[in-house]
Amino acid sequence: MNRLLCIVVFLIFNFVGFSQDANKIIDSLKQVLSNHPSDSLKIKAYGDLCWYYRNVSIDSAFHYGNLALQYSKNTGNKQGESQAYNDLGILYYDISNFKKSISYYKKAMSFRENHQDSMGMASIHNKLGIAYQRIFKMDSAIYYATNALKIYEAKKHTKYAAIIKNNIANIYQDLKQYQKALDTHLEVSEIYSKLNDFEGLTYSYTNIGNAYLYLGDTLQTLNYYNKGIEIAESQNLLRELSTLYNNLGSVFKGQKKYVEAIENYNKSLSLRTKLNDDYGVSSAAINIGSLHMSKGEFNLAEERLRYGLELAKKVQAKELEMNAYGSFLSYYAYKKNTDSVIRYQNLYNAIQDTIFNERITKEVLEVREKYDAAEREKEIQSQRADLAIKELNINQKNTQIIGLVILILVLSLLGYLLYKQQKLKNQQLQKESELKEALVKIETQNKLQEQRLTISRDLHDNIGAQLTFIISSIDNLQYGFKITNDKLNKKLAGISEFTKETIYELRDTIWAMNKSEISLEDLQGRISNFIDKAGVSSNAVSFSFEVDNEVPKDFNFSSVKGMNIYRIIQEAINNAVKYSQADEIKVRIQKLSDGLGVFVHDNGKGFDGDIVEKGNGIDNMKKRAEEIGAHFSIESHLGKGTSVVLQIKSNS
Amino acid sequence: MVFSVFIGFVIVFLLLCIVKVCFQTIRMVRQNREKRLDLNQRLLDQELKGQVISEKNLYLNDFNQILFGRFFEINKELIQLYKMLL
Repeated sequence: MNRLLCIVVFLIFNFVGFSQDANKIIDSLKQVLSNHPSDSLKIKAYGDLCWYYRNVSIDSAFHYGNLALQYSKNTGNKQGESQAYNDLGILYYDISNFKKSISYYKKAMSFRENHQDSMGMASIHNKLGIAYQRIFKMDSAIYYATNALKIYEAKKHTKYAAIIKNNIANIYQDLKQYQKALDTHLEVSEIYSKLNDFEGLTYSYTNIGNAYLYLGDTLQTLNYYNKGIEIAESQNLLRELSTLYNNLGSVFKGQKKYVEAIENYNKSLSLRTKLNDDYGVSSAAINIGSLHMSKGEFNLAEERLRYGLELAKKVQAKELEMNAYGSFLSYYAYKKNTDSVIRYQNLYNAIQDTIFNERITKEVLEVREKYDAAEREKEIQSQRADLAIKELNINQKNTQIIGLVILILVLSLLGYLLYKQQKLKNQQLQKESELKEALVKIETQNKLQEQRLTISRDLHDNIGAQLTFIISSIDNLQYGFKITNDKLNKKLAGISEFTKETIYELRDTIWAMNKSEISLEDLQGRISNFIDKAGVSSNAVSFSFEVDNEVPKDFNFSSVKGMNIYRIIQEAINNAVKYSQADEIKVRIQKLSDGLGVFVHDNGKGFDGDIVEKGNGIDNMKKRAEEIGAHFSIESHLGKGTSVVLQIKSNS
Repeated sequence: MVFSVFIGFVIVFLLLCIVKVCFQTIRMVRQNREKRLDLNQRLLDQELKGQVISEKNLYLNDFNQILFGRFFEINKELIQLYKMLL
């Protein structure tokens, strides 16, 4: 993990300085390998050698890196394999093979993802972000940088988060979004300020100054460069200080403040000389030389320019060489040394072509990368559009299918409902027809019964007519022939009386048959008439007939029931008149709790029910009572009279 | 799109048909129930009427038998009278 930190710091700050220590470490590692260490130690040693050879010999670094990878695969050491991919990815980055670098970083990431090595993943994400930035895939660069930032922020590694933010700011700067870049650098500076990381803060102020310069605010640029210088001086950060002085000099140069510019360049030069930064010294010397030229201090200018050119050639800095040749052109032009002018012109042109070619090649590569990126983006957009169209088509088809399914369901429901409706209709028609059939049947039966009744009535009436004829014939006989024979007279009177009684009974029956209902009042009237006739024929007996006040006047009976009640009372009275030798016969109708009660009481001699054989009359009365669902009882005691009780229930 | 709209209209139409069928069924059931109630009532009335007529018939038949008995008695008396007259 510490080595990963070193990688991150190196990538961001371009920090060199351990090459001398590196050789010593390389030797000690080779010593370790000669002692036949275990597999894991061997893999680690190869990995370390790869790392330390990085700044010594890139080929050796690759050699040991591949050894580490091979050995890890052979021994199944996934961690070693992941580390080897990571190291090789860094090496490919160093030789500017960014695509391969990305591919190796991604292989290293899979192991770290599986083992949830979040810090390891953050480091890989950061490196992927930087690599993508180099191939101008800015969206991927920002994506990976943001992922790394999220992990560091979640783990509260504020410093690393600041480093990532700094990278993101650089991406914004490459995208020429200078304001965003500035805002991000300001955030980073606050973090470094809280952490009291003066080195980081110095770099941050330098970046902020640069951002303001891009935005054209030179006042703020100078402000932040001065702040950076203040911190770098207090902390003795010589490299950072030299950069700041150089930048300050450039700003003053732009403002044509040559004195201040030369002063700052000289400061930068002396610091870089101390640091053995030949490139930086060359740059500063050439700047100073050209400034002296601008001020007309040609001797001073020549000395500086020569010094700068010598160092530029040493470090193979072609741009610096070109700048020096350009300045020399002006110098020799002033000196009117035509040969030198031509010579330096040729040198300038040659190196310009070289730089130009290199630049063109680089720019072409960059443009191609950008073009490829744009093409890929276009292809992605096109694929997305196709996907969207396909999705839309699928959605439409889904909607249609759903619609059809709903249609089928609704049709099925409708069909089912219609079927049920028809079935219900059939059932109801069937029930209706059954009822009608039953009604027709019962109507037919009733008609049949009515016909029978009519026939019975006709018979009945016929008998009545014949009986009437008999009576009138007998009366005619009696009055027409002056019969003196008593026996004959008695016979005739007997027959006449019998026939009349029969006619009375007939009339009663006709009265009942003609009514569908007999009210209590009708019955009362009929009983009263009968009692009156009985009183006339048996004038030794006193009759009384009472109806209780509580008996409801609107009490009705069916014709048959009424007839039967009348017949029972008739029979009871007749029996009392014939057999009881009573002088008082009472008939009473009173209300009972569950209906009506009819009482026929005489104060005659009574009879012993066990001894006396009951005749047809009592049986008839019982039978009639049973027919109408009433209760009939007869109570008699010798010497105490007889009571006939008929209890008619109200629902019978 | 057109097809979907068409399907939608058809579904709405069918739903309205379902509603109509439901209402028709309810009306049919109600009407039929009233008819059956009426028929049942008529049936009951006829049964009652039949019962009454049957009762009358039975009674009348009974009574007719009694009357015939009496008539027979009267005939007997008349025959005796006739014999007495002879």
